Amino acid sequence: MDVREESRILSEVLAGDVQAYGLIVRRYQEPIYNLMLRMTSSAEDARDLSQETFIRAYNNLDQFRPGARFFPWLYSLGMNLALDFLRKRKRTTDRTLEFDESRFEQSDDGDDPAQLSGIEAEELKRAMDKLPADNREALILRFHEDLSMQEVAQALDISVSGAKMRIHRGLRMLRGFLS
Amino acid sequence: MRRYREMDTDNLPEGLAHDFAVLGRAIAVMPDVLPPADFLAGVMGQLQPKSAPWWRRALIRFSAPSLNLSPLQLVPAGVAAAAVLLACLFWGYGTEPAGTVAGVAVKPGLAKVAFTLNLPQARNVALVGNFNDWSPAGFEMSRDERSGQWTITVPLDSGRHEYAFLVDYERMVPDPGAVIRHADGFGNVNSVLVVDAKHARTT
Repeated sequence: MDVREESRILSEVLAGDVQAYGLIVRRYQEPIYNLMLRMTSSAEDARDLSQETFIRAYNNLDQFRPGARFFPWLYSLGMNLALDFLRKRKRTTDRTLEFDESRFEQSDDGDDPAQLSGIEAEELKRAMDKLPADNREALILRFHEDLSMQEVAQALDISVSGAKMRIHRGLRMLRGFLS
Repeated sequence: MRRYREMDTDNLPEGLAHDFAVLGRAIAVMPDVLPPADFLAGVMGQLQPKSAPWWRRALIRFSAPSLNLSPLQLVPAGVAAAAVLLACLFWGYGTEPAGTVAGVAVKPGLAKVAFTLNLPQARNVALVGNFNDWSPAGFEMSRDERSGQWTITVPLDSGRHEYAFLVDYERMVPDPGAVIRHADGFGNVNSVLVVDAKHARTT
């Protein structure tokens, strides 16, 4: 579904065609559900939060900026819902706070030979789970969802340079876990 | 096969750049978990039909990048007051031959209707209405270099037509001199034109 097709569908939704929104849900249910799984580690919570994300997006469709891709906006809504949920559950053992990034802050100068060749899927998943959510989601959006750097920034409500930084740090940490 | 974005590794040491590329590819092909089978039904069952104003629907639909339009932004209705109408409507005599004018199929019995907007500072203006599904494509107006007026002539069927001017692909401006206006219920006003092609009259 390209942006033009997406815009046509959203126009029909706004004209009162509720069923057209089903095409949007089908297209993005998988990445949003997986976002919630990563955030909550609970299939039940992930389902509830994902559905709430789509319902909230529908109810706030008048705030969506015409011409933009729908997914970064939807993802941003989902991230905020997930963070609110975690705060309310007082489960915010926020890894971004307790995670010591400093040990991964190395200079990019100098000789640093390649250390990775093949990576096991399970091993990668475990390493991704160890990352702070900020870095992990930036990596997922950039490489798994194939978003541009600007779209990653939009989805995470940060600047483009902030998005680049999160991705760079995320890759560094991931490399450290897997080396 | 899933595509993946390469990292910008221009300023990285070779070993690091290599590892980052390996990680990017690995993340790209990570397996996803499928949502439950009743996921879609659970969402759709909680939605009520929307009734957004026509201009909102038109902006979303026709601001997709593939149409090369800038992202649209709405402006207060007060902007319309800046536009001065020098509109004149003239109607054709007899019938039009079969053909296409400004994207509208011309059928016998259509009236030619000229729309004019005096807005010299505009970079471009297009006519949108229910007769072209609020699409500016093919309905761009021409600017008179001396007067700064924007004009377009289109063949219209008999009946009631709602329309507005899309200025700089950014804002909708109703025709300030339209005889009939119609509030859309969302704080906006459409211009209304009634065409009587049979007797070559417009109201």
